[in-house]
Amino acid sequence: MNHFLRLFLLGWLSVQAAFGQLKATSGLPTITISGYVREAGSQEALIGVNVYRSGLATDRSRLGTTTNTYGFYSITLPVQDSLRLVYSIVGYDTQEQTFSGQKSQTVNVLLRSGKLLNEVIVRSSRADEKVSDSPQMSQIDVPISQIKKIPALLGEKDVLKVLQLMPGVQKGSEGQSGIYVRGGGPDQNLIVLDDAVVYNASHLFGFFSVFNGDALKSVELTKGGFPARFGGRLSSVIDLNMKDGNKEKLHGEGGIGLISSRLTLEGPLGKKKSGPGSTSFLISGRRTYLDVLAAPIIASQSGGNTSAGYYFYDLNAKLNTELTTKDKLYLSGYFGRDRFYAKDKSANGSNDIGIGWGNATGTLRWNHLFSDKVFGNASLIFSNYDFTITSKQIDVYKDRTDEFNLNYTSGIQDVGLKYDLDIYPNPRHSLRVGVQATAHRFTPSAIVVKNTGLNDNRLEVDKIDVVESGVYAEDTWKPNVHARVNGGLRLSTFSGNNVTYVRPEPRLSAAYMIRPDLSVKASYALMNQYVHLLSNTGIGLPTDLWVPTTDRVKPQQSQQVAIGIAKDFASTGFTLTAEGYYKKMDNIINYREGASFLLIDDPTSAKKVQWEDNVTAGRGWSYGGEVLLQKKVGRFSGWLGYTLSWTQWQFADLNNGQPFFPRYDRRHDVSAVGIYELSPKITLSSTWVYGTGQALTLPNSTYNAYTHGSVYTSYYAGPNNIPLVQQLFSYPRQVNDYGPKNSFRAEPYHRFDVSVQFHKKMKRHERTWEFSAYNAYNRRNPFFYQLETVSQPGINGAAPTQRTALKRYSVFPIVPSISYNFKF
Amino acid sequence: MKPIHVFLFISGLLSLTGCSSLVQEVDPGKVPTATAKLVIHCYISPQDTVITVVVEAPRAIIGLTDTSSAYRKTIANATVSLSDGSKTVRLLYSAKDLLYRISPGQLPILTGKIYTLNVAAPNYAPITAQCTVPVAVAPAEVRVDTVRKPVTGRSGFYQLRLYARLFWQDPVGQPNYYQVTGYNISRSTSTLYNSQGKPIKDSVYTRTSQLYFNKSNYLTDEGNDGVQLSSARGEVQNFYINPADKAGALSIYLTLNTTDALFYKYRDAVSRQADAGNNPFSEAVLIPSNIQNGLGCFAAFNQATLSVKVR
Repeated sequence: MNHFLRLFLLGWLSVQAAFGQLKATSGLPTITISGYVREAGSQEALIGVNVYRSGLATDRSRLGTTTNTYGFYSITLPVQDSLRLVYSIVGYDTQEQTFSGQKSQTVNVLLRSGKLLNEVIVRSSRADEKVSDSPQMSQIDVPISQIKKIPALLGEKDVLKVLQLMPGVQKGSEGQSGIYVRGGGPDQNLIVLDDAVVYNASHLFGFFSVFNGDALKSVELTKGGFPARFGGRLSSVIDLNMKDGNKEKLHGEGGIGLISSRLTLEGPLGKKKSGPGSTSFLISGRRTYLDVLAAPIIASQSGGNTSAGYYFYDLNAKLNTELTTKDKLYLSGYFGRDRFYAKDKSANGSNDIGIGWGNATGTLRWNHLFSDKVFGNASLIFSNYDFTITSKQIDVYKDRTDEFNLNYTSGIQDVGLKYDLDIYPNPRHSLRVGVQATAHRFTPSAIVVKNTGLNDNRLEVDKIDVVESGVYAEDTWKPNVHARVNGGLRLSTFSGNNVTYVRPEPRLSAAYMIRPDLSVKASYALMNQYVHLLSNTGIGLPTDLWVPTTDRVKPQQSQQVAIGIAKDFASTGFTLTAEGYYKKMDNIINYREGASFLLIDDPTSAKKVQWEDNVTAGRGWSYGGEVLLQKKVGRFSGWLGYTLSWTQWQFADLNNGQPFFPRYDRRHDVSAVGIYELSPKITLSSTWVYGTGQALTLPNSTYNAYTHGSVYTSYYAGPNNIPLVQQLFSYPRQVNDYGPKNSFRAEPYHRFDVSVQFHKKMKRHERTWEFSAYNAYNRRNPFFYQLETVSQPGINGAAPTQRTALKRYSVFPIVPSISYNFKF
Repeated sequence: MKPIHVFLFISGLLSLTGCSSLVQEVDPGKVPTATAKLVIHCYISPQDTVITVVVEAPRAIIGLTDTSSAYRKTIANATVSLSDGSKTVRLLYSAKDLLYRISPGQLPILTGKIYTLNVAAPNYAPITAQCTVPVAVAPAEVRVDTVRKPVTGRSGFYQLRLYARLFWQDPVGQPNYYQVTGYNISRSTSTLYNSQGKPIKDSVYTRTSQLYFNKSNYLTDEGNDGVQLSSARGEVQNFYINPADKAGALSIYLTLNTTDALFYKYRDAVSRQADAGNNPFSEAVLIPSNIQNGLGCFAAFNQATLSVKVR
């Protein structure tokens, strides 16, 4: 590795020197234009706005910059008489500003949302953001406004499910929000909301994700060519940013759906709407109400003795204030919880069972502008995920009352510090450096049992404290009009559990523009992962357990190379990307065959089982090709994606050491998404997805398995009386022959969803009725398979027979839904 | 088009499609079925007094349920042969024992030798399997101890229980697998009574019982290479006798079976598959096999026994 690292650094310096860029901008006097780009009307900071010089002869000559996560930009140019800068981003009106080119200055820009514009102007802005112009590859971003138009299960708009519709990104089982990126498992995705890791992004056993689109400003998924600022997971980074809150006026939006309702409010606090002292807030909530609707029915049927229900809720909140022109403070938090409960009471006692899980995150961020070229951000981050099962049983007897209590807890808690600096020395370089440290506290399992009359039984696996940290530097470098390079290095460390790992992670991605609208790209990334998720259900159950690296469980590591092309079709607004990738993963972990999340068989036994005894480490590799034809704006928008891929795993303790296809290996994956603005009042949308069936393990046959026995089986029957087979072999156990692991392919998955939205501007608000049908052609997609015994009546008086049949269980037939949304 | 029109359209569509069952049988023709394979079990050791091979047929999962009551589906018309590389002998079917057998005198099982088993039967692919007889590891010591334990269900009553544990030195630098078995032989004298309840004579009883191990008596030296290993604690049966009887001699025999890898892994997998049962949250446990074109286990072990006289 050290050898590779030296080569990498040497290569980076050599390439820089070859282009002569190390001295390119020296000597000439320069000025710096910097500032923030925000949305007109709300002052919401805009991420990824292109800022570049206007008026140059060819498109190729432009060298610009983009705004960062906080909407800040800085561009340094040679002194000139006058300067004209262009600010553009998809969906917003492109703006040009002219100012003196003699002195550095701060220029804050407000861009108007494209929805206010006519088609012609939108098209002009579209031409300015080009996938061919960026060194970044394997990155997906879907505008939140587009997500809100795509049909969804029960009308619940879901950011993660929209990402599943992109090539290289796959879902797990039917309706699940779990994400599988380029052969990696759901644990290999770093899901970050305002810098805080969200460990379990699922509600309702994975059918919905925890992210409420109304509170989100942006979502971006990176599946390869990772910049050095990202680390900690092997397969993807899903970076979500919450809205900052409208600074100009009180704004609200919400919706009433079949299973949940939601409401978001945002607005200024105080009279000042911009500049130092201005403050804004956002608060957004969502809750399901199935429990509320079902409660009277359950109560009436049980005579008031039983109550049971399930609900989940999300609460997002954010506060941001501008302390000075150079300092901004953001405080944001997310709280979400799922809870299932059942209570039963009678004269003889009561029974109370509860299952709950949820995330809580909090981020305090402080932006500081050191100069017009150096932007700093400090973040204090908190994240917690916990899963609990509680059971309380009271038995009332004539002479006494017995009480039994059980409490099971597992979870993970993080406290982290992060500091990032964005440095813009000149238009050819954008540097980012940073450092991050996170203290993780794992609670792999804790069970407390209390029983009247007996000693309390406490069975806890000790909490585990570890520290994960990273320091990185990256540079986005534009050596000339043709080439774009992002190179960087991350040094990740892990310490705890009496082990320390220090691992360098080189990253490189580059693009070469063959034509102004066509570029070829390549990338390499090495990633390490120090926290692992033990999951053997694949359906995002809260029982999935986060565990750390130990001396026995090594860090997971992946290396990925990707090559591709990116083509912009300026006249139509389409972009085409095609990529091929190869990824190898080492030290990935999985449960051993036969093991499950239940740490112990009997909570009252004193036996303490280490989770490490239940896992096995192996390696995996994935390769394939992805094509994406996308159109983000216009009356007709959407995309068409196709993935052809192969993923294989090999574990010493699984499948007898032979390679096998993991459950989510998917040969073909197709998705088509179309959104059509029929008129300003009507939006039509539809999606169609197809995926090769999951690789599953089913038994072929059963047989008697004999193991070596012993002659002396019983004292009351002498050896001579025992059949020879029983003397030599143990009594046989009937076992299943499964053939090779995952050798059964489920039927292919395909589904068509459709929706129509009716928008109307009312006196004080705008409302949208949405009607949609999930699985519109009522396909019975497999959720799981099970072997069952089926009785058959005898023919012509013969005795009835029984046979074993394979049954396919589906969860969703056609699911129509209706929802009402509003905003003001 | 107005919202109400869409609502009516979707309602109509639903009434047309209906809501057929969400559970449907998969067409058996689309479920891949594996070719039936011979199931072979044979364990050989130099201490064998008889060499046996069990040849059975598996039962298909999909399709008609096998209602025959016999739990064994023995194949009686197979050709079974065992070879040590220089000599091949055919094992004959014993209808009484429902297995194929020969005397070890016909083909001695020797330490370090490789043996090949071949089985052919009509309608099945012929199988072949090989194993090597491991070198026996000598047990070093039997440790015996007693524990006073409360009698289950009888408050205030205690019983003395006897346990034995085997110790041995693991050979360094190679993976080793073991199975520990044990038994005890105890004598006691009881008085027999006639129908009037009068003693008629004293009788001496000799009882042979397996030790009851409190956890698995299959061991591996993985992570403990070259160290002193010990078996699980085996409880001696019949140690406690009726106070009216007279306790006689008691000896404990502990056998260390040094086994090949498959002997251990096969048993481990069978046990884990049974433990996992139908737990939907656990990974399916695959049973390893060295039977080419078949299922089951052909493995070897080598025994060494230590005994201790308790009284």
